[in-house]
Amino acid sequence: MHKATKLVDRRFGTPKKTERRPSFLGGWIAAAILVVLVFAGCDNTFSVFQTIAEEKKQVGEDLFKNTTVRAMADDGSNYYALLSQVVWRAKSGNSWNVLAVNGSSDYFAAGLAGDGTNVYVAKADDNNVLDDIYTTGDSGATWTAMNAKAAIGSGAFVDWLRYVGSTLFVAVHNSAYKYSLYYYNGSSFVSAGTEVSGLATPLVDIVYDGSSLYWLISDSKVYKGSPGSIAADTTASNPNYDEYLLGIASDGAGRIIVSRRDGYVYSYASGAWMSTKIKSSTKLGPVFFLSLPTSSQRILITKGISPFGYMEYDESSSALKENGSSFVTTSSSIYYTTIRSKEVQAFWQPATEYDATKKTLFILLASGSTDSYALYRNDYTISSGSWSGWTAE
Amino acid sequence: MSKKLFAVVVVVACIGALTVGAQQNTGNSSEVVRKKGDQSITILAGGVIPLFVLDSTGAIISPSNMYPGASFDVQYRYMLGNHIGVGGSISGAFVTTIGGGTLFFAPIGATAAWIGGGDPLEYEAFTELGMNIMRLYGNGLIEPYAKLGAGMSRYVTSAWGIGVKVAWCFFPEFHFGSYSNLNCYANFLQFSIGASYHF
Repeated sequence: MHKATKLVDRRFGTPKKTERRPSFLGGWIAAAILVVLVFAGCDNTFSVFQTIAEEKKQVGEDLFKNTTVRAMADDGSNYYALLSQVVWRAKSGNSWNVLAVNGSSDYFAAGLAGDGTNVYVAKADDNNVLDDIYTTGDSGATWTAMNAKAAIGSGAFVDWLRYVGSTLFVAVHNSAYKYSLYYYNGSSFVSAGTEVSGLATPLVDIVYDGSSLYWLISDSKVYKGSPGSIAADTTASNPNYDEYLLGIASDGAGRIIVSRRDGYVYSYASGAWMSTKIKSSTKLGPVFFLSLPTSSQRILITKGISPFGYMEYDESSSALKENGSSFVTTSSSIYYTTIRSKEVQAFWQPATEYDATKKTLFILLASGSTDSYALYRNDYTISSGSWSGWTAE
Repeated sequence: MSKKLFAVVVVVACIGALTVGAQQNTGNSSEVVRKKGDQSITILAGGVIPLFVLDSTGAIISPSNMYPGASFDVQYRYMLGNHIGVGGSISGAFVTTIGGGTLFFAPIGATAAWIGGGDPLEYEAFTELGMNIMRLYGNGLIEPYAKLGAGMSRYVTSAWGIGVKVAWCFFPEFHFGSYSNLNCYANFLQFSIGASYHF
């Protein structure tokens, strides 16, 4: 330090050596206690650098950044995904492109469904008002208008389009926010049931139990029945609760599960409902039966609160797997870098596999707060009985 | 705070410190004599380069899957004599990962340094020991760390100096019991420029 500065320092004085020094013993003890508490609060099972070492660089299509994938469908040769438009890629390829519907690439798509052979697209105007539903059986080469607007009426806002079992359903609402479900009877769209017409609560999803019944949920009630006569489920202890129902899934063999915003999953089998608390006070989302590998079947349960992503519930041990730890679908590092920060819209599996040695699972995501991708694929190799982990589309 | 905003703050702080230092340059080149009781505060900004990571067996984890990041340091020093100084340091740093994640560091430690030279150029060798708070994907760890480095600075006024520092950073993580196989020993190179205020 310069001499001039030293003079100033001396003029204003420095602490006197005769001043009593404070005891630092208490401080050291407090610091030691703090360090012990801090160590105790750390997750001994989480490794920062090994998690990073297991990461994989995700390179996907830019069109899946900052967007939401709302539905998927397939036919024999292509995958289709619903953004604001429908995009597609060949099952044998990698490149996604906008699908021209009925000769136009300038449209808004409000719904997408498929049965493995035919693809259905609900076109709407800029206000989401139904224009018509179109179908193609030759991967988009030719389209047929299904006259949905004439049957359902003008001014219908499309909520979703589903093909389950052997029936095409479309959920709509009107300007008064009355929600209705229609199905295609082979020649026209007609009401799916008087009890599912003009509802005050939004319709969430519909599944088929694999044998006879279609199961529908609004955000408050469970409905079941055949197309045209779907009515409220009156089974005791069903999951009905105003604005609590968030997802429904079927194992295709008679079992139905419904997720709720209070952390419960309800399961229907053999004529009775049972409930399981998955995670206390945790808003859930869509659910999905994961039957592979058969030795470790699990239910995939998405989370409706941040951090989003999904959990795996092992019914055999009633164990909940979170944050990628002990997942059968992926490693924790891939989970962290792909799914964790985004709200899951749905899981989806194609009707027909391109590669007979594999089973494919897609996860459809909301746009979220990052610029990562909204669609990832996970391949299950049958011979090895293992999942590849999520890879960006 | 976003990474971009953090980087902007670091750059602005560094430029501000250097500007203030330059404006106060008196041109005084008289020899500096350090003595016991002298103190200084240094603000540094720079980068962090991942070097290599060893696993619990000592094998290198390759690739480390980390990209270079940025760092920001505030250091305090108290001179015990003409050449020996002790003090403390608090830092913030981040590196990004190949999967698009961000690993944050916040080392807080005690420092010891040997300082040589005089006015205008001063050089030093230093070591630093402390606790390192790491955070990745919402998971946090607190682990010990060590730094070893060297630096050089130049007085631009009687009170202000600007300089550069380079340090090797050893960031281990320890796990206990059946998870001891998760132990890792990460090594980084930190380089920074900054300004010191002596009082």
